[in-house]
Amino acid sequence: MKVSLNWLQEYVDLTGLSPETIAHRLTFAGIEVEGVTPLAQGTHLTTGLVLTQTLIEGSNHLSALTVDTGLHGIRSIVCGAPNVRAQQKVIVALPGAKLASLTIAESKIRGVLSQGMVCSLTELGVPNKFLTTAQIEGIEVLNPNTPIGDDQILEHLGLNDIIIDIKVLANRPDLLSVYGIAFELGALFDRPVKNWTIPLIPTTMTTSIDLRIEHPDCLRFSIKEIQGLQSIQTPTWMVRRLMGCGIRSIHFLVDVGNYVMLLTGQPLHLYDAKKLPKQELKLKHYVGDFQALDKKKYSLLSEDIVIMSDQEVMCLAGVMGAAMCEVDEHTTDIVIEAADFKGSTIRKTALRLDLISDSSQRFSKGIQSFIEEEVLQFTTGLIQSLTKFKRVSMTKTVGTINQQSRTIPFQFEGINALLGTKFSIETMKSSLERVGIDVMEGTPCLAKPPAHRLDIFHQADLAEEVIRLNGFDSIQSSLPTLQPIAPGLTETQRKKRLIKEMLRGSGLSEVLTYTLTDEKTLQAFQWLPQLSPIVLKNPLTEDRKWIRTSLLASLVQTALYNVNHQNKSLALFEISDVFGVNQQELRLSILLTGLQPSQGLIGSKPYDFFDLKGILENILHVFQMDSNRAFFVPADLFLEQRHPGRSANLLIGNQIVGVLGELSPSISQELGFGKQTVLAGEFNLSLLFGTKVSPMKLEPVNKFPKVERDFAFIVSQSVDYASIQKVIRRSSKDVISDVEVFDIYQGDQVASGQRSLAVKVTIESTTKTLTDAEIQFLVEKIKIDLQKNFQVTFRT
Amino acid sequence: MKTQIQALQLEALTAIQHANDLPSLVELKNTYLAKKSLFMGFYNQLKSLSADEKAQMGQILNQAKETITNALDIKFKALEQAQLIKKLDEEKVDVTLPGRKIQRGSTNPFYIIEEEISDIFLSLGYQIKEGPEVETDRYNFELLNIPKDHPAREMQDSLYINEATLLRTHTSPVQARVMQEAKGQPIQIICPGKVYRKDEDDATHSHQFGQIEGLVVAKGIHLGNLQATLQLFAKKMFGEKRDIRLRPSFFPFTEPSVEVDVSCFECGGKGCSLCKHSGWIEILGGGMVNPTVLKMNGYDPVEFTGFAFGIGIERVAMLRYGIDDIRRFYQNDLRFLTQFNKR
Repeated sequence: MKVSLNWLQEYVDLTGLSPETIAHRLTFAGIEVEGVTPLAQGTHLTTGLVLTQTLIEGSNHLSALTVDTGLHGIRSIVCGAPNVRAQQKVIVALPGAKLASLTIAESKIRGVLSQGMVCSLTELGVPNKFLTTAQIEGIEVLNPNTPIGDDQILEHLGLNDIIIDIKVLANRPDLLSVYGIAFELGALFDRPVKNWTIPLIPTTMTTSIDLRIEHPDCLRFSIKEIQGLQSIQTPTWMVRRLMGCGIRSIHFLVDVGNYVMLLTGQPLHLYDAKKLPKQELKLKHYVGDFQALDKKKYSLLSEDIVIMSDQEVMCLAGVMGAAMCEVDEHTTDIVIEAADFKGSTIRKTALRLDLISDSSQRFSKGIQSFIEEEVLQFTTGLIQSLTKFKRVSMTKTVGTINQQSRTIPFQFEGINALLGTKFSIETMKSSLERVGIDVMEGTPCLAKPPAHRLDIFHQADLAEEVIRLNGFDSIQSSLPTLQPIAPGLTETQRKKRLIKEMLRGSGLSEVLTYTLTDEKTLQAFQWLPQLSPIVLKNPLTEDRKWIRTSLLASLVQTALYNVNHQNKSLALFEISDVFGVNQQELRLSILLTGLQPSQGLIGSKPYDFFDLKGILENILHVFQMDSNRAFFVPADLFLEQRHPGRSANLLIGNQIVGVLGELSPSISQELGFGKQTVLAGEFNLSLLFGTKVSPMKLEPVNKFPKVERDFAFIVSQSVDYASIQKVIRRSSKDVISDVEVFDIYQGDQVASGQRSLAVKVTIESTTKTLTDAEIQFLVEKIKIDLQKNFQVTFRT
Repeated sequence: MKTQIQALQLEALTAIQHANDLPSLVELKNTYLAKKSLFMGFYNQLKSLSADEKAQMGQILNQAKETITNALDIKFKALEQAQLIKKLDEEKVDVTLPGRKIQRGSTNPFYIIEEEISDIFLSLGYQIKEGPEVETDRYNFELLNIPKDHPAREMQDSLYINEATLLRTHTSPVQARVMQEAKGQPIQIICPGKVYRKDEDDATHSHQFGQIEGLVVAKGIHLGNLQATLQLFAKKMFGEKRDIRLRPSFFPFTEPSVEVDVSCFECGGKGCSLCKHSGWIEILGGGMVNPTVLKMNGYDPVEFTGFAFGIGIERVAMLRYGIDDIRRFYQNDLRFLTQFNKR
């Protein structure tokens, strides 16, 4: 809400308070001030009479003027305005003047001395929306009666105003009026506040207009009828008041309506009574088109409140009137409406139709109830003071008339206890009274908030008023002393942090991506069993319409962004929850591409499948998921995106916990990775974390020696290593403690379809030192088992 | 014989002196001192001498042998030393080449701040509670005193899934969930997480962002407790010299509500472009839990009071690191990310 400081001063005494002091006080009372700006700006201003005007030779727009500025002398001034003429009274900025965006100095223009400047209102900083095209393009031509040499011209034009721009929060709709802000300032500075006066006007008729409420969201509806009205030009002082609050003057009747709304907070609507089809106004539901006074057509729904006369819509209640009964300069008979509508209904209508008006904003946020009659009376008095009319009716009202008053029981100690303060009862009581709350002491005490404060219901609200007025410095700051309740990280939180730390240690970077995605991306990279996806009802764009059910697509997008920005070697991961209909899973996704940075760039190798697998094995090991519990098997499902020979599923028991592999070369090419190999995987951490493991216990360190024996053999490529390892282990479960491959070869030196493997077997007993004979026996057994199972050929 | 010995000795010493590698030195040793060497031949000749001559010549012979052995030893050591020096010289590496390492990965600054804030409150005895991002209207709004007709409920602000479900617009619904779970017991929690608004993405707005909610509910909690807690938080997060100030504000779920400013860590409060020359930077909002919220979630507001606050994760990160555009968090450009592997 923009508010004129001059207007405020009519209702509250602000003598001696600078606009900055006022803004600061408001800010620390919870009322955000978004700006303090003068309506017009200019120092060293005076008025003058243009004595002569001649076009400067060689220029088609510059005039040389002589201007009589009274005490400031007769001056030579160069002026570029097209509308400047001799005998005009004008505003002159003298050398040294500081205007809104320029400073004036004596100078020579085209060889002509210029001792000042003739100003336009634009140059004085008046916003263009308040000016006519002629005023914007040319200098301001003053009333011929204006005295010359008037140094207080801004004040005399009513432009010496300061505009305070207040951000009104949802709890304080009372601040959407000049009077409401004046009242607040009176409370904050403890200054007297004057109410707007309600004149006594003898009524000379009763209205014949029939009123009826047939829509439950119209609470009350009041009208007053005025006949035989003489329309006039809006007086300048009223134009300036409207300007100070950011509203343009339209014509007298509209201006009066806006003026009253700005002052009291009660929106008014004015009908041209002669244009009403019937002597009735009915509040109804209506479905159909509506031609508003902005010349646009709106389609209305049954929840909207409309005001109808006969079968025609006269007004979309609280939002905008109809073109057909609009008041204008020729209107003589008017019906003034002041009503109370349910705020949420008005808000829904205004939002749906994108028709946010000053009126709809006030109804939406809530207006003070039961002031309609007073406001109508005030409006009539205002009109009477400015022009003439023949007849005025009594106010006619329909709707609820039961005014409920709020009484809040409270205790002064309770306020101090909530705030951590030690205010005296007198301080608290006087603070509450300053904001208009009636306090009745007793046990408990009772507080009655003023009708315009729609935000005070509890003791806590009273506490807020007390601290707002007295400032936060009175608070006794101390940390709460609480017994810790199960402090520290939960198991899942701890494990999540551990994995992140391990991945970072392995050189992977953690990214953060968007949850919302488009339909195509949603379906891509569903390697794990897919959750049933959730779609938004009111998405911002089609690109952000679905809630992702996997992280991998986001990671691929992130990688592509980087590859396209010359960051070609990437090791990325993200850990996040994903959501499906009534489903939630914690997922980890990893993507590797380009060169591993692990060796610097010297001898750097491209990432391959085993880099990705190794990262996972590390994690599995830390979570006590060794190869007997968690194992990798060749993937045979959902393979269209992956290299069929370089994909695996990670299983715990018979559950798929993760899927990993190399993107198929055609897919990476298609995505935009070129020839770069891309390794990717996604893992269900909820499942991993949910798998029970026994707590880690120390196994005794073996005091007997261990021996290692190597086996080198050629075996068919169709035999996988896991099976070989299993057979070797089975040869003696007691004494084989480790089986590890240390060399693999396939190529020219072995027959096609075969590969050569070298395996190191660690043999130890926990009960004795094994003899050579025992070891030799085991070695032979292993050889026989390998031959029997896989037809291996041993190399010598 | 004596002359012969001396001649041989001279010859041997000269040869040793000229030897310039270990194999030739080994050969010399064999030539002069091995069992069948010229030198050892003299020992055989001793047998034919008289006892006197034997003793005299024997002595001369031993001395000669010792001299040659010593000369050999010295030469051996010298050659070995030379060889070692040569070897070491050949093995020289360029120590300015990069070391072999697994370079630590980076972290999006979002997570750095999330973890840092979490750790501050963990150290104060808070628990971390997380809640679903797909949330019901009841938890996201109703139980936080944002009833059906409240402006914050409008469709243009929130991303709805259906009438009753939406993407949570703040982490506050976790407050309600935890209060209902705790069934009247004291509460001291923070709730970090992602939240969503129906906002167009630009430098300062994002349809997705991170929040950390704090909630303390117990008997006797007051506004001064919130002030002290946030004061401590600001010092840990932005430096020991930082101060905070509270300004009254409005949130439906707290009463009284406050906005919290921290003294500018760029200029120390003197005024600069970061703090828009005010000396203060707005960092978070909070207040005393609204009695209606306490009541709706199973706490008697006469007996229990509480405070709550909400911190924007990206906002803190942007202030701390001088990040100019919130979209950078979600772009994950490696040139941005890799700057955050330093702590």
